[in-house]
Amino acid sequence: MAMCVEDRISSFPDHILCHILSFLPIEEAVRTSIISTKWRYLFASISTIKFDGHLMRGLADRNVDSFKNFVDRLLKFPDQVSLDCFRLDDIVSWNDKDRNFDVSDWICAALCRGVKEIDLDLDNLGDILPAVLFTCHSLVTLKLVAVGSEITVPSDVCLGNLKTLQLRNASFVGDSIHRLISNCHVLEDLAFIHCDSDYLREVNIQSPSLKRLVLDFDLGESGNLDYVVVINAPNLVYFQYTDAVVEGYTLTNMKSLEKARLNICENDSIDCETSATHLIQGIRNVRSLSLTTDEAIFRTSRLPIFHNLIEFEYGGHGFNGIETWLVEFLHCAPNLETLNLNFPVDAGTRWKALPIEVPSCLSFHLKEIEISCFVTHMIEMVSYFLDNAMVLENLIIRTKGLSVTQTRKVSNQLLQLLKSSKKCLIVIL
Amino acid sequence: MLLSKNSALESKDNEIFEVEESIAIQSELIKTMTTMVNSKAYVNERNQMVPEARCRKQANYHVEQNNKIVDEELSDWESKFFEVDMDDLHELFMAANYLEIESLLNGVTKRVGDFIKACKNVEVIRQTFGINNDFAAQQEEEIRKLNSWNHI
Repeated sequence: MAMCVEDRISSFPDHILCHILSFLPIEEAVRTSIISTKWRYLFASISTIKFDGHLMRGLADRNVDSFKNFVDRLLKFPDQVSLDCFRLDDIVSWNDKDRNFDVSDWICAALCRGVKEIDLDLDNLGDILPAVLFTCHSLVTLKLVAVGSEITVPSDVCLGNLKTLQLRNASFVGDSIHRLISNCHVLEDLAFIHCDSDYLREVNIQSPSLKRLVLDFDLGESGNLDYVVVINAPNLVYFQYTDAVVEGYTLTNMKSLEKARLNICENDSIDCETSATHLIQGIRNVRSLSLTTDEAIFRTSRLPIFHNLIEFEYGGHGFNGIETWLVEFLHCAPNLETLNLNFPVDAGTRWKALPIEVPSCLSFHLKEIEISCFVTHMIEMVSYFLDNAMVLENLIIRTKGLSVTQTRKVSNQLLQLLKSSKKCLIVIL
Repeated sequence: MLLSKNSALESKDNEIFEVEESIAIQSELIKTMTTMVNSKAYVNERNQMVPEARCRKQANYHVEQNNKIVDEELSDWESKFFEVDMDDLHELFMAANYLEIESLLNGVTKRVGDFIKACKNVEVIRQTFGINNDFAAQQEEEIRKLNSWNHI
């Protein structure tokens, strides 16, 4: 039954209608061109162009030419608005030889339209990326997923407005990384995720503008660990590092660092302890540290004093002597206020008779302790903290996989423990 | 609890809403107007405005609620808030547009986008929104040809 609906939507201004279309997958946005004359060319002004694998797989061979013509028109029509984002996602077969898409040409066209963000996830990316990409002045965000592909950075690289750079699964040769980053003068956010380190001699990051840095080399899965990490980033606020400990670390000028997240594992082929110590010394200004290790990866006697550290999160699989190691670490964090622990504790650990003094942070500063994955024989550890944390306000215990009866039993035990801080509240989740 | 400053806002049809200042300034329009009047600390500043009454009420409601709800619940609440018909959406749009409230505008446009996505074909879109097909047969044929890859 046809209803008499008033055409409200056509009174929306064009830029609003374009905004509406930007929420649709591109093929649906394009279909609106046949609604009415008002809608005919609206889709051409959308500011985000995204093609994904779904679209690709639905394209029949006989329609390939029509599609290519469409993309050319979409990207290259004169007088078009500048593009916000060009994205090719989740696609293995965009550069399928049979279909012969000229992806490099499309990228160039997007660059000509002053595109601000480019996201590419393609096979053979290294062969497809046009050199002009690396001298584009409109780019603000660049995200590349280049499985196993080598990225060639031209010598005249200059990305003057690039603020965010994210590279996944890419491989680099020579000093490409250093050259690339040195020529991005306003770079703020940099991430290398699961990149191939096979040909690396060093990861050299010198950037006065950098605020966030993520280096995730996948715990040394990629093989080569014979490289050094050199970082000089006076405005760096956040540093995330996941890798086996490598040959050497030179972290200078990290005076703005507020938060660091380290997930490191041992490397038997080098003097791991010395190298890891240099790493941790480099980040000693942090306010908040999240550390995941499986061994006593640096000797606590060589730790710096973390004067600014107020929040510390430690996790891993645990190791022999972890209690002593942890308490020695706490000695190096005199101003710590929040502690979060997430590691398994074996029965029969020696919390009751630790051979060292109580750390000063426990006596004067520690206000909150959170213990994730609590199991029954952690009672001793909890007891140690309750006994010694004089200004503790909150103790949060997260039980995992305990039955209701077990949880109740644990709660009773916990509530019976002596607390040296009168205002301590115990929360069991 | 911090004492929050309130603004009293009067709509065209003389209804007065008291709104927390931090919420009121989510509207770019209100923000500009209050800056022009008095930038220093004030309480119960009265701003004369001329928008449609119902729109105002809904805009305020949205903005207020937006600030009270925790992130996880927000998307649920937002979906329900925007589950209205095209007429109401249009009113919300007018309010958001006039008052220049970006988050409200985004919510409305996204919802309209959902409406379009839910339509199986162009004819259903036209019916849903009451749009008249003013193409000549030849023009329509032209468009279909250019979009043969897209099964229009």
